Amino acid sequence: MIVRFASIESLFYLAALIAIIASLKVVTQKNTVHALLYLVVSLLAVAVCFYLMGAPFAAGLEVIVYAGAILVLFVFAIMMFGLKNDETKYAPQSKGLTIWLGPCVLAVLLLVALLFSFDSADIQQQLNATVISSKEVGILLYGPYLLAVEIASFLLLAGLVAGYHYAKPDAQGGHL
Amino acid sequence: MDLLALSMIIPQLIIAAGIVLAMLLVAWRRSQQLIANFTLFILILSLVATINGFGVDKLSVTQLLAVDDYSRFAFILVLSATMICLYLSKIMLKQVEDVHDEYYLLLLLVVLGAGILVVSDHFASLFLGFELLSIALVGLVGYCRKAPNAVETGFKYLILSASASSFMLLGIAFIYAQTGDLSFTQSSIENTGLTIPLLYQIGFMLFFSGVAFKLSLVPFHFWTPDVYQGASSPVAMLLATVSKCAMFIVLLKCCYTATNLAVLQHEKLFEFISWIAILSMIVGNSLALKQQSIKRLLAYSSIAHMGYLLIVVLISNSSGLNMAWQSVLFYLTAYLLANASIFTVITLMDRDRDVYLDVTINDWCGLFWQQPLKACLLIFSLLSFAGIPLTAGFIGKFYLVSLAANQSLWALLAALIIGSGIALAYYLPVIFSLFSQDQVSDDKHTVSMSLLEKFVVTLFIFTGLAIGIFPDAIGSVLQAI
Repeated sequence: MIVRFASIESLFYLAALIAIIASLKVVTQKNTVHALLYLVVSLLAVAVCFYLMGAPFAAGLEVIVYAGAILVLFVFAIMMFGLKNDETKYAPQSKGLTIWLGPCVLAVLLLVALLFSFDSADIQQQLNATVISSKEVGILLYGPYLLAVEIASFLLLAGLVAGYHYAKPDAQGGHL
Repeated sequence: MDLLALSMIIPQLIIAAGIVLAMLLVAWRRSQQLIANFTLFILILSLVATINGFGVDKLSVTQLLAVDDYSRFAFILVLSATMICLYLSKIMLKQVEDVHDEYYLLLLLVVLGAGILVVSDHFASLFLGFELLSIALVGLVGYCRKAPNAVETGFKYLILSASASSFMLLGIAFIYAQTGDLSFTQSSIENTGLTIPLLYQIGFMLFFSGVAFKLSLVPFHFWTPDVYQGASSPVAMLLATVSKCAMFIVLLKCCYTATNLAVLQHEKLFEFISWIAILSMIVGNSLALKQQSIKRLLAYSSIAHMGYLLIVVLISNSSGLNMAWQSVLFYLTAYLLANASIFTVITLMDRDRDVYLDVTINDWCGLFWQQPLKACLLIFSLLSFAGIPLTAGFIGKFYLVSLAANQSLWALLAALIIGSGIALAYYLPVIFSLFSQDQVSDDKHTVSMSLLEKFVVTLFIFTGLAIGIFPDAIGSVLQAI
């Protein structure tokens, strides 16, 4: 019954809606770790959007790089800072299921959407027709956009140097 | 990408190689003198390569970049401003006891970002250059971490510039959604007549807002005075010259395409940009009136100057393009020279006392009687800002006025004249205070200048005078382009 209505557009808009709701929850949460849970869901929803647009490679990158690596860095940084009072002052006491229920429901909805798209032969056919493979992305990046890749590497270097400068400990002694 | 195309971007490649080599140099031997000289060497090498390339026709390097003589001239401006900044930084950094390798690295990264901006021909390279410029500047703006407000200044700039780039990205995405192409020149919309798709209009407005943030146009100007004041003087000069010069050039490169010239004549967009220009001229100048801090005053005046320059974006027919480019490049040259002069004096004053103290108009009272050379330089550059005849600023404004009259942009012309009138009300009091007799007995200006400093100050005075009296020297170069 539901499967009949699940076209590629409706699945896309469902995922987009989940991304928006989750992003709103990220900025309204009072506890950083709770906000991060929603951030994961938001990034996963964007990944599903990419997948439904026929860009599985971008979707994979979104999951691996953002939801995987960068979120882990976030969590790591929050734990390193040791926010203590700042962290718990305004946050609700974490009793019961309410805190992880929200992200869970959204994530399950995403999973259902994804499963539908796997299940429906029609959608799979449409997706396979317009797929952008990792090979094409690679050829573009190291062909016409080679200079962009190089500039991006300098951008990362600039971020690294500037970040190092702000974070380095005060004068460690030693002569110039 | 063949060798010919690659040879077009040699100046940028030199800077990029310089950054990598500078990092190796740091690993080999940490010496302030060495890395400063190395940076200067790289800048000079790049300058020579840029000048050497003059006269070669416009050529695309992949689809991302396109090099022409306008961008070469702009890059020369950027490089000269950076060299002056390098000289001032050496004076400033002597007072801050620390190892300063990353300062010079960041400086080179700023130049690379500006270098990419001035030659970019594609929204992707525009965005990457924009970010490179911003991120490297964030590191520089809060560089002296012990200064009051340094970290605050850095983060203010970081957060605001990140939000500006997100606006810009959304705008670029809308434009892409409409055209399916990110290149400046090839992007075409159906029916480039009177009906411009709404999505394209919104996209262009968002994109323009992102650029307007960098140019600190009203109503995106709120960060400017705080950041100028919080940053050290050489970095403030970098913000005022390199960053604005590069952003303006890339805005023009984007606007002066067949499609966008038509788009800009669309009623709503034309009004949107006109209002931003008029507001920048009037509000920027009015806010500067009551400022005591010199850097805040310069920040507000830079808002107004960018407002004046925005007139050239609104020209209607493509026949005026050459004239518009000449006006912009001449105006930027004059603006850059005046800024460099004033910031040189500010840095020299910083050196003579506590480096973190803000320079106010009171500190300059009676400067003429004790240090006539510095005072002369200040007078010339302030008059150039105000656009008094016999200065470079006058010729620059003359270009703009004649362009606005040619294109019958009367509202903007009126705002320019009113704005310049208001500007006199804060430039002239500064000049009068230089001659004030009140505090002559005070011995605060007694520190003498070294021979090199005297030479630099004299050089600035003569260059300013020379361009003011013989504007053809630069005008003919620009005309030949």
